[in-house]
Amino acid sequence: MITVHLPRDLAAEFSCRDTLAVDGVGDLAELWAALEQRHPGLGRWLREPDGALRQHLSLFVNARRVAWADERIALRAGQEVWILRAVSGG
Amino acid sequence: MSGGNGGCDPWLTVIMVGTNKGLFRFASPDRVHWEALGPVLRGTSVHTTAYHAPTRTVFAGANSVFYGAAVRRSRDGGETWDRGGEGLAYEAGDPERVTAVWSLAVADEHGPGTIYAGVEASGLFRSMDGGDAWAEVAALRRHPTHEVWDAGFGGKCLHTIAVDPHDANSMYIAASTGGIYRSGDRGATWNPVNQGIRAEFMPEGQQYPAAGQCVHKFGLSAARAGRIWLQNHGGVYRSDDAGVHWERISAPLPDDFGFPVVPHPRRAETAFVVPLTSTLERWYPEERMAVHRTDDGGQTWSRLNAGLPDRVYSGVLRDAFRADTQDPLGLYVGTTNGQLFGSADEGASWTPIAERLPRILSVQVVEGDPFS
Repeated sequence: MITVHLPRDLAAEFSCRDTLAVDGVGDLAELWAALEQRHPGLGRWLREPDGALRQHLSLFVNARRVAWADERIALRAGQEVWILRAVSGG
Repeated sequence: MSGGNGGCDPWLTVIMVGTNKGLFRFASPDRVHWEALGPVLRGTSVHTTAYHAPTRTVFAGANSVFYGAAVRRSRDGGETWDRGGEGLAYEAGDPERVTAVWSLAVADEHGPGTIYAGVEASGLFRSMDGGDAWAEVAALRRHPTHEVWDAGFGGKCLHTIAVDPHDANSMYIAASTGGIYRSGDRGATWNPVNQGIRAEFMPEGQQYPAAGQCVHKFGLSAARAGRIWLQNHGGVYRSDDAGVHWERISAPLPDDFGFPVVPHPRRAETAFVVPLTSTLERWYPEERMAVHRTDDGGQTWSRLNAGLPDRVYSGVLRDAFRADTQDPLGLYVGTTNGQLFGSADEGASWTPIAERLPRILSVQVVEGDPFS
């Protein structure tokens, strides 16, 4: 099981918890697909059409920041994925 | 607060005020007394809004710095919003991305539920099901002149869309920079109609190109077929032949720079502009806020400032000035320092509706009660 942490405002928009447990995913591509299946439209809020994470979001996998959200990044049971908003902005 | 008017008279007019930090709403039963309904879409930049009266749907061009651009919908006067439909994006291999929604136009004359969205980077999208599914009107960006489109100071945006009220097959868009384009076949093909509009930022001898002008706003006359009013980066223009020829009509104005232009919906010779200094301050000439009205097609202009402030260092952006349809005409203007003024007498006098809002990007008039 992977634990995914979403920004609270995003979770509120999709009427879901901001911490989600996702089973049966082995890499980032499968995680995106699982999230989209569970909450249709969520992928469009997180990523550009070419798959890139939106510019002002950050992705951490197991406490390490992933600069380029390569869909081949492997995920293992027990890992945590954090999706965070930037804090910049006026 | 919840919408509605507590069983009293229904709201006659609701002003939707889009700011860079959310959408504010002001409702009135009589255009004199206004009630603030509180901000929604908090933290989101609302570049534009539109209203579809038959379904009582408010559309918002809601642009999140984190989650991207969407056309979100409310069916309760703005109290709650959906997350927008699908497809408002360029394809994965496209060199450009959709980063903001700048303009909306409901267009039931192109089929019930049709709505257009103009986006940054400049392009046009259409939904034919009320905003559930979007697809690009691809012929526009395929026009050969697209290669000269560039970003103005506000971004590379398609900021104005209008279907001709006299001919439903005819529609216009404007992009900055790029200019004004016309389609005679509901978007299947497009041609620039910029001839005669000056691009003063180009070198001498090249200032009248086919495309590339920095058009700030246009408005089609509902009172006279073929008439278009246009505020260019420099100069106000009028066309009486659907954009084939343009006449520059801004010589009497205190400055030829400005963003919005609002045609009178019933009087063909009347339109309103808000001149700003063309130097980089972009505030009102002599720091005195004023709307200017012509009643003779742009030969002369009257300065209307009764109730508007002096010594004010703000401006009015392209989507932040609107008219209602009532008689006498109501006008609503929002400023970059968060003031909203209304006039119920065609601009002769103005009263503040709201102050101390965030930077106002857009103003929209909803007539009828969107809450009931």
